[in-house]
Formats: sequence, structure tokens, C-alpha cells
Amino acid sequence: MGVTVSQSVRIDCGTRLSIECVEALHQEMEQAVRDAQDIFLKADDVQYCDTAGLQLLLALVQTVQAAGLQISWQGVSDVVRDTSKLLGLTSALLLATD
Amino acid sequence: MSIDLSQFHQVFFEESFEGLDAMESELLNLSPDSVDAETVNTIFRAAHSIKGGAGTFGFVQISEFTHDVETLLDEIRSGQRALTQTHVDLFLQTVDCLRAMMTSLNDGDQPDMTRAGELKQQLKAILAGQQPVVSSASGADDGAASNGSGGGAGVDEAEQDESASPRGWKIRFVPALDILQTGNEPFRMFRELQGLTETPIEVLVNQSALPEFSALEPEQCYLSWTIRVYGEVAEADLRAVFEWVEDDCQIDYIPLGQESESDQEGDAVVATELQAAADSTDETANKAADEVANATAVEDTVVTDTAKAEPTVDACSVVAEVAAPTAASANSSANNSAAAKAKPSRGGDNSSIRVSIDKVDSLINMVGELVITQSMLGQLGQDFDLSRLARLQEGLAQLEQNTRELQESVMKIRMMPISFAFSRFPRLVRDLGTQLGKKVNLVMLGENTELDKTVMEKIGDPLVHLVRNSLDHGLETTEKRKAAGKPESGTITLNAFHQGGNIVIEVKDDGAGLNEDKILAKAKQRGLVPAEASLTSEEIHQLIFLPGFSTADQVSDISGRGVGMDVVRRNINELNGTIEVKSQRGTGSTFVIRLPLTLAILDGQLVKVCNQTYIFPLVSIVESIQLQKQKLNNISGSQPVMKLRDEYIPILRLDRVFNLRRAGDDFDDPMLVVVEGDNEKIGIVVDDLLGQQQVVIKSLEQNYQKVAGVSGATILGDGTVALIIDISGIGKKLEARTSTSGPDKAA
Amino acid sequence: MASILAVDDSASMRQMVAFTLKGAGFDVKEAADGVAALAEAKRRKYDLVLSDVNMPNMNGIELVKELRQLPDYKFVPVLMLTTESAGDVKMQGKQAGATGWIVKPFNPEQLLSTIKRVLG
Repeated sequence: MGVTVSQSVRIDCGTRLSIECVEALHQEMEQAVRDAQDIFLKADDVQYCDTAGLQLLLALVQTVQAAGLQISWQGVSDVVRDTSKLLGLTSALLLATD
Repeated sequence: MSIDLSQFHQVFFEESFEGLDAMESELLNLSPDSVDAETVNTIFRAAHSIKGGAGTFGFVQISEFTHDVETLLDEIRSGQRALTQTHVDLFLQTVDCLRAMMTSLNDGDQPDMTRAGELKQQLKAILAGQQPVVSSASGADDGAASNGSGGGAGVDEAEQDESASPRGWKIRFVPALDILQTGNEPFRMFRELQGLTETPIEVLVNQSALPEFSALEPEQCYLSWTIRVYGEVAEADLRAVFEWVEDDCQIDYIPLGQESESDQEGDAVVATELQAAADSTDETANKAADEVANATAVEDTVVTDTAKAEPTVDACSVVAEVAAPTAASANSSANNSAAAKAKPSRGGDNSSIRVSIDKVDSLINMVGELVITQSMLGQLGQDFDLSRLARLQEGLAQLEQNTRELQESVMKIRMMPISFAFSRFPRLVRDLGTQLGKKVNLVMLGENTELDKTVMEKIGDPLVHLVRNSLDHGLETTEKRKAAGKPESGTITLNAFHQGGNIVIEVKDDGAGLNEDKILAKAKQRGLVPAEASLTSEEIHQLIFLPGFSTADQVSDISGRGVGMDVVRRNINELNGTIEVKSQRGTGSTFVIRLPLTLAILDGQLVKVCNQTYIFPLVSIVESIQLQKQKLNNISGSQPVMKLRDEYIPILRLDRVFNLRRAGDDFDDPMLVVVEGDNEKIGIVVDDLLGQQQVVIKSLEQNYQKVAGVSGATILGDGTVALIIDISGIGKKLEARTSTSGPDKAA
Repeated sequence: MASILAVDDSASMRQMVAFTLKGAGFDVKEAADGVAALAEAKRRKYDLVLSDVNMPNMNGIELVKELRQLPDYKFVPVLMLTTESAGDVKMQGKQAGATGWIVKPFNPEQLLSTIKRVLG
């Protein structure tokens, strides 16, 4: 659930950032996007992620940036980094230098 | 990781034998006039499983042979070929052949492939000869195949590529939208690609198709990739990675050395576009980039000619695989098929039993109760005084009950329905009936009656003999039946039921019945009964069990296999069972076999000889009589016999047979136990008759060695070991002694 | 460790598969046909289902269709154990929602390397 911190919202990716969770996460993120807030992504607990999960983050990153808002990571687990690298998404997900 | 597959061979053989039995019984149900789809499907499935298992466990002969069988079955199953009686007969022969092959393999021998070769030729002739009805779907199938769905095209390319030995590959991978929903994961595929080479692969993502956030359906895959794999990697290995998705995704494999300029440009565009997409959100720019990317893809197609056409929907009529419950007919032993020419050797001694979980669970339960009782008794024993006697007795009673229940449950594990032994008969009766030109109905009753697995294995051959005998000698020819006003088709009935701790198996025919005059005449002619004897009907019927008796005018190859009813009777006696025949002239005969439910426990008569206890099987005892001492003295000599009422019976002194030393001079008050084994009565002299009780048979062979005249041993309640006398074995000892006509000294 | 439901009516194949997978540290449950497998799948969520195609009661294709109806099994990888001769069976399996297939005969090493493609 999004926890509002002043003008920003934090989205917790949980432990599994994968296809069976993306519908619910998508709805939560849509809310954040509609409210036009800065977004923090918390992904340090993620133990498993897949293409659907990372694709959703990618879509979020693009949308938020297009709206001129800030999006940044609040902790990224190794699994997220490794899988992003395999899928060629490291730079697109703003994980290149961290 | 290396796994020894031979540990699964036994299970494979067992289930294959079951599969063959199922095939056989379903084939017998199959009629070319009205083909039942489920029946064909069951047969196909059995063949299919055998082929698959044989391939996996390294029995190439079996899997290759079964392949053609499967192909023909598949054509019939899918309606491409009409079933004929020739097919059914060929399949039945195939089953026999496979059974023989499996038996050889199970015994550790190489199978004889002559028969398989012949059958394979016949199968191939059928498959090659008359072309199967080509359904319109086949065309589409061909199209799909030439499309390179893991087929020939791919191999050609791989070969070509190997010669070219490229520096690496560029793979363009555009997944189907729903790829993620079937569990196929691009990141795992890329990881697998990385596993093919040591040089790091390059993965470039194309996100141009990613929709605006609110329009995103997050379970779809909008991304596509270009992957560069460096090093000498075979195209076949690349294709293997995408094997599961190649039909609905667009995948191009381009050797790195052979990239066209447009390719390079295309890449550049995609890369730029990637950057653009990351930095800007101009949708039109995205669209433009998208178009460029698409155009590039088209060019690739032209240049490399490896692009796939639209995935062809396989129009092959999808045969609904209606699942049919497998007929619960099955038996493992390969020696079942009387038709099989292979020598009927049993599949090793390490045979196993499949036990339902229920039975095992109930055992575990009982062991649990036993443990509770044991700990209760243990506690009681620690500080016992007489005031607790009642508790002790209660505990002991409980222990007795636990033990009995446990014994029953363990016995149940060995119990199998007799259908395992009956299942061979439909085929046997069909084949024999055809051979003899007789019409026969086979009726099988009580197929769920359970009996011990060992008894079941040993009763198979005698039963086969009885059924053959009924068909050959019992049932009349069709003409004779018509003349007698009977239905044209004879009926043979197999019936099994439990009766008082025994299992009873009846083999009944509605044929002519035993010809008493003929039997008696033959017996007199052979000197089996005195010429002047007059016998009752029952006594005449029993004559057929005498050794060397055969009344068939002409020994046919059906029952005249050098095996007479005497052998049947001996086999059954060996199982501690009995056989008798009831017959009515003109209406038929019934053979009645009585068998103990198990071979592990015996109803025994305990006898005392000197200071030893021996056990006689209760079923073998005819009578026991007091023997006057002087009479015993009179019956010494090289061939001691005694007149008992009307007959002379040979006499055996157990103390001499077993070289027992006795404290006194001789028997004080001897008893004569008259036993019958192998149709011979013998009188055995013992000191005393003790009680009768059920004893658990322990094998001497396994624990010591085989001893003539002894079938096993048991442990009595007081802990002493008692030998169980093998009546027919001890009779042979007697014969051996008299034939050498040595002194009356036991060996 | 990941859990796998192994479905095959052939006891020898099932045992071989289960033995291999257990040896590799997987948590394996066996089922002898589609009906038994479906019941087991409803009882507990497995990370992967390996299923033979030709089985009595409920065949592998029907099993995949049924599994895909269960919310827990919407995305769980399902691999069919099939034979080379059954080209159209692969497509039927895919259309029913299977992830992929393993071609019989296969040896334990091939099985494990294929499983890596869907687990981990």
C-alpha cells in the first residue's frame, strides 16, 4: 500500500515482483500516477522478479518521468538488479549507477 | 549428476507386462465392425507407454519395435485407417512377441529378434502399402513442418552454420503478447543463452510497443529484444532455447559475420530510439521509431531468409483424447500367454508387489497400537506384583489381538484379486476355440476374490491345463452339440470364491461329461485298477488323476503336451490344495480346486518322534491309528508294507529317516499317521500326536539349504524349531530306498 | 526448494522423474493421472507441474486446461512429457496453456537442464 510522505508516495514491491502480483501493483501505481506525486520504489525485499514485474516498473518510470515528476529507488535487491541486467533493462530502469 | 536407471527396470517390466495384458484384453474386445474409440485409445496408450519407457530405460529393441505398432494404432485411432481383423491378429501377435522380448530382458538375456523382425515387416507392409486416407489436415501439417518447427530446415541451417563457423549470432526476439502467461520467461531464456558461451551476451531491449501506463495490461509482454551471442555456438543450440515459443513468437537468428548493412543501420535506429524513449515522451517520435524498427525487421527477412511465416495453426483435427478407465485386468508374469512360444520363465525372484497406501497406513496404525501395548506391558513388568495380575492379563489379551490383526493385515498385502490369473483366459479360449472350430463362451465369476500372490502364480499353469482340457475334451463339436439339442456355443465357467479359510476355484463346462465306461476300461487296460473291480461313479472320476492316464482317442496338441491330470493334481497338492471332479454324463463336468489362502501359514498337525517335534500338513493326513508294538516289529524288511483294511501301504519310520537317537529301545506306544501325497498313501510311524495349530512357514532353503523330505521349518511357542514334513518328498525318499533295495537304514 | 508435481501413469517413468528431481533437491509429489494431479494441485500450490500426455481418467492436455482455470495455477509453469512422434500434441499442449515440453525418451540430466528453463 502506498504510504504518503508529504508530496511523495512510496511503493513497496514486496517480496515477489512477478506476474501473479502485477495486476494489483498496477492498480496501486495508477493511483499514485493519477495523484501526480513523486514516487519512491522500495525493492530491497524482492526475492523473485520476472519480465512482467520489471516491465511494469519500466512503464511506471516512463510515465512518471513524462509527467515531470521524480521517481527514485529506495533500496534494490540483487535479484532485481540481476534480472534487469539479463533483460537489458538496467539503464531504462535507472539502475545503471547506484 | 549420474543416476543409475537400472533401479527402475523392475517397475518398468512389471507395468509393461500389465500394459501388454491390458492391450491383449482390449484387443479381444475389439471388433472391426464396431470400433470403440475408447478401446483403441486404451490400446494405443499402453503401446505408447511401453515405447516411451523402453526408450528412457535403454531398451532400444523394444522401443523400435513398438514404434511401428504405435504408428499403425495412431492411424486407426485418428480415423486415418480402418481397422481390420488382420490388424487385430497382428497386434495380438505383437503383444505375444513383446511379452517374450520383455521376459528375456527381465531375465537379463538378449531377446530373440527373429519374430520381432517378421512382425515388423508385416507392420511396415501395412503402413507402406495401402495409403492411409489422407485427411485435409495433413496438408496443413506438411506446411507447418516445412516451416521449420524444429524440423529439417533447422538442421540444414545448423549444418551450414557449422561450416561457416560464425563468430556469433544476433537474435531478434519478438515475443507473443501472451508469452508470460504460459510460464515462459525471457530472462531465463537469455540466461540459458548466456550458458552457451563464455563471452557475456549483449541484450538490447526494445520498449517501443509499451503502451501508456493506464492502458497497460501488465500480464502481456510488450517488450522485444535483440541479443548478441558471441562465440562458436550452433544454431540448433540457440533454437533449443526458444523451442517452446518459436511457433508463436518471431525469432530471427542472424550469423554475426553475415549481417547486412541495413541490419546494422536498423540496430543503430533501435538504439537511438531506445535512448529517445528513455529521454522523451513524444508519442509520435515513438511511433516513428516503431515504424523504422518494423521496416528493419522486414529487411532482415529479405536478407537472411530465416524469418518465420505466420505461425500456421495446426489444422490437424484434434482428436479428443477421451480418457478411459484402464481395464483392471492385468497380470505381470510373462508366462501367461500360452500362445507365446517363448519359454515361460518367470521374471526373476525379486518380484515386487504394489500395495495400496491404505493397506500400508493400516499397518502403520497397528504397529502404533502394538508399540503402545508393548510399552504398557513394559511398565507393568518393571514393578510387578500380583495385585496387577488382571492388568497383565488384559495387556496380554491386547497383545494377542494386536498380533492377530497385524498378521491379517500383513497377509492382506500379499493378497491379489484372482482376475490377475483369470485375465489370460479370454485370449486363450478365443485362440483355442478358433483352432478347434468350437464356439465357446467364457464366463468368469468372482474375479475380485483375493488370494496370495505366490499361490496365484503357481495356480496359473494348472488352471490353463484345466481350461484347455475342458475345451478340448469336455466340450463337444458344434455338430454333436446340435444333435444333442444343446446350444451351439459351449460355455466354460471359471468361478472363484472363499469358503471356510480356503479359496475355491471351479472350472466348469457344459460338455459331454466324463465317459465313465471308457475311463474304467482304460484304467483296467492299463492295470490301474484290478480287472474285476467295480467302482462307483465318483471312484471312476478320480481315476483321471492317476499318473499316465489319458483317454483322448487322439492326442491333440491342445492338451496332449505330455502333461496329464496327474501333474495338475500334483501341482495343486504342492500348494497344499486339493482337486476333485464332479461330472454328469451329457451335461458337463466341474473341476473344483481348493487352495489355502496363503502359503505363508500352514494348518499343521504336530507329532512327536523321539524328542523332536515335526509337523505334517493337516490336509495331507488321511487318518491316524494306534499301532500295536508287535505289529511294528512285523513290518521290518527291505520294503515294509502294512495291510490297512483292503490295501497295502508302505510304512516309513521317521526316526530312521532322520537318524534320530532314541533313549529307550524302540517305540513304546507307536502311532501310525496315514498321509497321502502324489496319490500315494504312506503310513508314517511316530511316537505321539500332539496338537494341531497354524504355523508360520520359514524357508529352509533361504536360511540353510534344501533338505529332501522337508518343506520348511517353523518356530514353536516354546522357541524350539520344528521341521515341516514334505509328504510327497518323503514318499520319494521311500522310493529311492526301495529301488536301491538297501538295508532298512535311513539315509 | 521449489516444489514439483510429477504426473505420469507409468510408475517407472514417475519414479525416475521423482528420483531425479529429489536428488537435485526438489520437493516432489507424484500423481498417477490427471484427476489425481488436479486434486493434489487444489490442495497445495506447486512451483512446477510435469505431466505425461497419454493417461487414463484425465489426460495431460485436459489437466493443463483445468489447471489454468485455477487462480493459483494461472501462471505456474507446466511441462508436458511427450514423444517425438507426437508433433501435434506439443501444439495441443501449448494451446491448452502448457509452458513447454520434454521429449521422451530423456535422461535425468536432460530433465534437470530443462527444468532450469522454468525454475529459478
